[in-house]
Amino acid sequence: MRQLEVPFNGDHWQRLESALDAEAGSAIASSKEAAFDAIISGKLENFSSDIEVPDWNRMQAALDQAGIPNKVFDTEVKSKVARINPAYQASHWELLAERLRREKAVKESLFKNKVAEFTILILLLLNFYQYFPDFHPIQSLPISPKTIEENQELKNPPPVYTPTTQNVDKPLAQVPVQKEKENEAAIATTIFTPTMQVVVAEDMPTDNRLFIPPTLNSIAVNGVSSQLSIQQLAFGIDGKTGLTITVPEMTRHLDYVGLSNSVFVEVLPSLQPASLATATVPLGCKKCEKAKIPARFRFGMVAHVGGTSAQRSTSVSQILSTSALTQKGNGYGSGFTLGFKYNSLEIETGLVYAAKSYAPNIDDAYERGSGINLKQFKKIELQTVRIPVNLLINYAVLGKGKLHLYVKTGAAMNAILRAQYDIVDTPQASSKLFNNIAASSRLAKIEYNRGLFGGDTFRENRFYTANFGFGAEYYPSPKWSIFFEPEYNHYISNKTRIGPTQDVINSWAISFGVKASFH
Amino acid sequence: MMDITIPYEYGGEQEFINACVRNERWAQKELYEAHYSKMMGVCLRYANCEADALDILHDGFIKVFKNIGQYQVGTSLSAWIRRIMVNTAIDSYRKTVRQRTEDIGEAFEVPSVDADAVSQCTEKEILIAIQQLSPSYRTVFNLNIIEGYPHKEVAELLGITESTSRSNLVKARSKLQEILAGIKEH
Repeated sequence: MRQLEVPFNGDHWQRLESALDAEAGSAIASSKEAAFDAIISGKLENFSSDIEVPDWNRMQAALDQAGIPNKVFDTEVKSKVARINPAYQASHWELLAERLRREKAVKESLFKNKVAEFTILILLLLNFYQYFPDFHPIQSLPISPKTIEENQELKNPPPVYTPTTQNVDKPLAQVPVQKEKENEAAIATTIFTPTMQVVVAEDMPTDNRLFIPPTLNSIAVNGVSSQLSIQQLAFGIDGKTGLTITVPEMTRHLDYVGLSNSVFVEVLPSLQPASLATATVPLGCKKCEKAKIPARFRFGMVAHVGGTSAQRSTSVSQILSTSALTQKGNGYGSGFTLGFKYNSLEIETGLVYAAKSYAPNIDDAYERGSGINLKQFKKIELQTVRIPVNLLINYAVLGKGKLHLYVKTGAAMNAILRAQYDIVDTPQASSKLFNNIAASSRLAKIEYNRGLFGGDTFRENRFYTANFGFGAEYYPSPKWSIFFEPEYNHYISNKTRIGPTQDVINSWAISFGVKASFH
Repeated sequence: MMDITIPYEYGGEQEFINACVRNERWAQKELYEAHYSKMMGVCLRYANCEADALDILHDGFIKVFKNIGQYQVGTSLSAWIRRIMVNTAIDSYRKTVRQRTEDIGEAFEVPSVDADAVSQCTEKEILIAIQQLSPSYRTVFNLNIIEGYPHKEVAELLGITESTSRSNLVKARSKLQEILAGIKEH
């Protein structure tokens, strides 16, 4: 390979020479082109054409012509689509009706659930305050130094004085009475015995006075595992021997003892003999006031079952050519009551739901086309709410006021939530069974209401009743009671009538439930 | 318990509307029966199939029953119901279709339609063809051509641009013709 030599080729040199010349020439050519371009652009800048611009209208017409097939297409489709009318299918209506019914049922269920939730919540709150009456979410402010300075009692609380007892046997409770002032000899001790309350006092004043201890909270009794809370501790002087003290928790039925008797004492069978009660809170002496049995609020849950009596109005009977009848039915319901009780009187209100149904049993035969139709009005179902205002008069019976009898009277406003009518319309093969055949349905001529949930107004579905009842109420504890009560609700005349037959509804019911009391 | 309504002889449109406001079932049924055919025809154009059309129809009628109190007696009840039905169809479209934007440049490549071809098709064939369009094409075509909404309004209703509405319409026409041609061949 070192010895390899290629002979000279003249063609190769010519190619190289051409390439070299071309490279030199392009530089020269580009400069020539630039000069040429400059001349041309200079001449064109001043160029003005006298050629006529094409007419825009012709251009637009050309465009429109191109779009005509689209317009024809659109018009054709639109006209054919407009003629699409699917045949009616009855099954589709049934689907929609079912869907409407479901939506309505959901709304009603939601309403009932919310009412129940609210009622339970209220009851829970009331029960909470029943068992924790002293619960205060906001703590009371501490007594300021200025208040202490002004109030001598706070500054110099009187000492607790415990006198000796005399002539009592087997004391059950002993409560020291504080001596408040020098000129008042309110010094005593109270002893509860299994048979009677005996107070031994020294230097007792003779006028009747009640000594209400402001701060005595409980009495601890030996042999009883828990503290006995005191709702009211009232001291009454019996005019002879001195103070008597009653503890409502022990007496259990303070409320049901008449005020005319100033001695509020009862036997205490629940305490063991020879028990000793201790209290460390000083007791004060106040000006005599007649002891007031505390008024209390009461909350109750009630359920009822009963019957209805529907009376058809005369005017409707004339339209239907029927006699005025009274139809019987039945019903049930539940609700809650709120009452305010003072001594033996109680005012009560509440909200009670009721469902009633009865059968009007009206047959309406009328001509339809070439035949006869029978329209049977079979059943009415009503759902109502009632807001009563009643006055109850209580009478304590049996011992300790555990059982009460009461009479009740009042009035109520009722509203129809929903009214459903079961009406069947069937063609008849023969008219021989019917004596009275109308040219058209007489039931269709009568207005009737559907209830608040049916879209009616409140005024159209409101009616009033007068209420009468009597009952028995048993108190297992002062805070709780159960009751049983027959009652009657009589329709008070107004413009609201029920259904196409324009009925008035009287009803009776057996109610029962529980009530909770709180101050 | 049966819940059968009483045919009630009412006096005029106002009484009928009042009965509908009170949710009286017989009045609602009469309203449904009276407008079923036209509205079902509307819903069939917006839906893929009869089942979807029925859902749109019933959704629309529920809105009608709820808002019947707002209808002004004396105006066209049919037009009022139709407007509600179209809005319901649009709502249905919005719930089920992901928005797509079309490249307007592609529209220029679509050839013009053959108007003569559609004149030979029956109403049912046209309906089938419309139902086979994609939801976005179908809805734009219905709103602009059948209902007569301008593109600007169609764009606002569907949440698209006006140019997208125009391009979807062009595509819809072309696709419709293609489907109709295919239907005719078979």
